[in-house]
Amino acid sequence: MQCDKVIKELATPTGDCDSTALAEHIAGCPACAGWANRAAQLDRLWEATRPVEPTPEVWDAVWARIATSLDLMTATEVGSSFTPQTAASTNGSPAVLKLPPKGPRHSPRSQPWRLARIALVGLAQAAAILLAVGLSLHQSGSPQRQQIAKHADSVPSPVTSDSVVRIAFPAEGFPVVVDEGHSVVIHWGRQERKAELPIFLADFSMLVIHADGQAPKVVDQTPEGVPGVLAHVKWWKKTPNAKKAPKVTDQMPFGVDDWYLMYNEVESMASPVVAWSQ
Amino acid sequence: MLEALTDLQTPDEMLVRLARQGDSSAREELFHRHQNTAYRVAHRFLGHEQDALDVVQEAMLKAFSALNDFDGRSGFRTWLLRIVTNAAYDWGRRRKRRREFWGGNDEADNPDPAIEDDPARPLRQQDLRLALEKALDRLSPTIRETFVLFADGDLSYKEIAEFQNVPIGTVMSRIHAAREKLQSDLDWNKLNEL
Repeated sequence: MQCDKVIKELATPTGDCDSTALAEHIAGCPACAGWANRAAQLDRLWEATRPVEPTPEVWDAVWARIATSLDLMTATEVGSSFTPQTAASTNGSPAVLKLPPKGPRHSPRSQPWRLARIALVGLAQAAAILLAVGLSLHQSGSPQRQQIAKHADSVPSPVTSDSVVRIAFPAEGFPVVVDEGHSVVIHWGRQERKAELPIFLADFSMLVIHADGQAPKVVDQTPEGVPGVLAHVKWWKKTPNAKKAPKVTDQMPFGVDDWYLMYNEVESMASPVVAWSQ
Repeated sequence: MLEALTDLQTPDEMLVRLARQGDSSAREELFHRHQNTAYRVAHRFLGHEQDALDVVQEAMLKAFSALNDFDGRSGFRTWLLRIVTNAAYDWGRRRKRRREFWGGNDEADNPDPAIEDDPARPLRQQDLRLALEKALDRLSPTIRETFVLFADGDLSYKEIAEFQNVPIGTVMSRIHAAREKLQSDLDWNKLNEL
């Protein structure tokens, strides 16, 4: 065997070399014998300086911290992935808080936290209800609601059939309050639009918003030749996280009142807690 | 026959699949199975027991929270050790920045309790470790990483090649180079006296 092959096999063993031939070469070659000796010293030094492994108790403590962090991350991710749009029901009833899917079972050590979470859920929901009632009473005299009420009075009552609401509008359009999950057939002139609305209708003649359980999609159904109203789309997307009610202008979409905006906000805050309770 | 059965382990890939489905005991089994390898590798990079433990904890948390990103092209241990190595590098950089900001050196201000608190541990081991660390510091980061993964990570040449995305021949050359340099840099006469 040649020296370079011997040293290569000593440095990075592959098992391909004949061990007898290897030993014979080392015995007869001082250079390779010296190399083999230093390699063995390095191996001994490496073993001698290997760190002492932590005790099982130390590892159990490390794992406990990791498991707790993972459980908290799972609960937070499930809560934050919920949006009101995905909770739209299809049977015509107003949106309800959709419960997140069940995650891994909690370990016994998390039992003491469960009561705290349940209490937090109750408090959050009570706060949401109080806020909603208070705001709706407060806003009953707001200009926006008055505007909506005034217009609503002049519009014939929509004819409903199960979950379908048929609305006929003049070209100017009027705000109409439509419950989530309803399908709306809009008669606008001679054209008909159908939309499944997650919340209130924006500029109904231009947009169709599908809430299919995932992120809401916006499909522009603007007829050719009619200018689109994409600005309303952007505004609508920001609505769930809006910190305050939008300023009402002639161009603003109507129908999204402050009660819903505030409900969204509290719902978003409560959703992680609700997730934990599951 | 019974002895052979008790040696059988659930493959890592199966544990990963179960862990993704929310099986916490599978997750824990994966942790315990690879904890010591991860610790050895982290300790070689950082030279400090507590830092190595913190890095292992951080890396394991990252790994289990990103388990869906594990595509199975490499083994789970290879994938995990990549996370551990990156975490150790980040930790080392942060520690160096802290040291530069506050002044002082790490050994004097933050001694490794594994050595300092154990009177039974002979002083020679501390000297041996420091001598080896100095020699390792003189290696390029890539060569050092290759040798540590080979010597402490229990990875095969093929697994290290996947880890570093290089041919197996390159891995073997790097290990050879690491050995050559360490063997020539270390003062064996002095070390043998310890």
